[in-house]
Amino acid sequence: MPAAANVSERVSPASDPAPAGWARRLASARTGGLGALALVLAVLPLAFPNNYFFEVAILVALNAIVCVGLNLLIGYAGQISLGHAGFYALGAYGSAILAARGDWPVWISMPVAVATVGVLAWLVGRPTLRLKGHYLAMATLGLGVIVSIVLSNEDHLTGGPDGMAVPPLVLFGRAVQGEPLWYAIVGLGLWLTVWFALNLIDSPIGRALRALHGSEVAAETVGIDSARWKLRVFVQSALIAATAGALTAHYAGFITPAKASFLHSVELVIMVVFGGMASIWGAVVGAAVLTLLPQFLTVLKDYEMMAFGAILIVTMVFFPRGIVPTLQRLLARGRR
Amino acid sequence: MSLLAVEHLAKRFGGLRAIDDLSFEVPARTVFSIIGPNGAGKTTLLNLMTGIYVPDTGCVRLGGKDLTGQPTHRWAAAGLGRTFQNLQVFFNMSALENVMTGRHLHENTALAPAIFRLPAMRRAETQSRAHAEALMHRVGLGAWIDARADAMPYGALKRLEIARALAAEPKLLLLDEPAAGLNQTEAHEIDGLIRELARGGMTVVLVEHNMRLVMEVSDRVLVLDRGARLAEGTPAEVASDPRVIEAYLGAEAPAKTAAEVAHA
Repeated sequence: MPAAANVSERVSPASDPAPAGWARRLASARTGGLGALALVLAVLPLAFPNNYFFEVAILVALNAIVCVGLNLLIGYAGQISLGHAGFYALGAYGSAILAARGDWPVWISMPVAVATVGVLAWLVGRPTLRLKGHYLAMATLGLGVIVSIVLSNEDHLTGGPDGMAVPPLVLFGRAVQGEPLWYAIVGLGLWLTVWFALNLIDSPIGRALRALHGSEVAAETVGIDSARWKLRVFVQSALIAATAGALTAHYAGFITPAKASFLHSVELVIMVVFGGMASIWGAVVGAAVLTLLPQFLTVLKDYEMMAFGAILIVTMVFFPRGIVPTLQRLLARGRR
Repeated sequence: MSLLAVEHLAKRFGGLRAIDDLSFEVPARTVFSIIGPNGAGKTTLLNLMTGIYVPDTGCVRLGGKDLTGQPTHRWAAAGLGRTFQNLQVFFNMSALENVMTGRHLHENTALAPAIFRLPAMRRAETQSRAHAEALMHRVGLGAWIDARADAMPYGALKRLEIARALAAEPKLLLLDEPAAGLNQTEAHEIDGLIRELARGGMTVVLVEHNMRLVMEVSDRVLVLDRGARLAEGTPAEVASDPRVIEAYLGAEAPAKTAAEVAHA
């Protein structure tokens, strides 16, 4: 490769997007994407025949919110968390317990629970993210299991495996209830999360995160504190998961420890990988497809899980980078 | 006062003394080259001088500040920039973004302006972009500004690393074999660039195999052999030193074992 390759002026980079290109096209793709997302979120409910569709859409949006945050960690900081279901459930139970057992107003219990989860994530992340390697995955795996066990066993607080009733969110003297209203809240939440994430990635912070993904040693030599940035993005992703969890609890009015399971953590990671690592839109697509798929596959009854697994395998064979990045790559190739 | 001071530095890997009680000083505004046969410990020394390895004993001071044992990003903050012999480019970004990432230490990395994309952030981004573009022109990458890093040829990537390091506005720039893998013309362009940097007041530490390049651009040369100083002086002094000739040509020197050569 070396000597034969020419430098700069002698080879025209014409095979690449023209000078006006790459970065700016990315920016316009962002605006276009955000517009499309807003349109889909606004128009979709018009086609919903009943509340069940709203319920599924809300579930998709909540999962997508968690996955966008998780993808910042997995795709950019290159770290895996196997405990995000734990953060999600702690956000849900934290707010639920404060509101139900402590009679706190929900608009206070939610931020308090979310902030507490952030502190917990910081405590777990700080020692582990200073080490090279996948220690965070181990630590979060342990944390997730502990959270799950505690939620199932502390009956007096959590209601145990049967779950607990959760008081509704009350705003301006009125309970926030009903699927359409919650759809609007969660849809707005998803749109904001995507907007924030896209802005973040296209900022000095985003370059620092992408640099970690590209070459950690080179990132350090330009002054990027890798441990600090990994910790920041880990805590942020945990805060996002906890927020989604708290919203779920007050929307559904009832929670069980099932959401805290290790399996749910793995599902979240699969959504990210399936949609595409280091891709904000990939996280949304991954969450949407993998949340909807089981709804369609129920018609297969006993073969549901088999079909689900087969679809996952086939997709990863043909879309090895995840759905969105692979499609982007194909599109870019087609354009040349 | 010297900008960089290495004092009694030592690093062992198992039984191998990669760097053995080495001391030297790099005066400000000079081009200081480190040369030596394969396995002399040049890359180990560079890694010790950027915090990638922690020395067993001894210390490295930059501008009087002892940075021994500090993580690499602290060295960068103290004014040390470097490039890599085996490229460490951010292949997941455009060429321009690579250079912009070099501005990290001079950028506002607060969360709120970033996620809301506040006007101040947009202005700072425009400035950062302009700065990076100017640097790319300066190192001769004007034609590659909007290229993806993974679509660039080897020679251009070498310069891209230099532009990225310069973006951080370092006091001292370590270049690890900038001419390796380049053809004659490209190597000539690199030494033009190094001379221009030196004229601009930059202190450059150069680790290089290309003797012609070293002899042409260096103010001082340190010759390493088996982790220790073999000779130090001006290019002319070093070139005429019989010990240096012996180490390089192996004349009348005991033959090295294959294991020694293969190591480090």
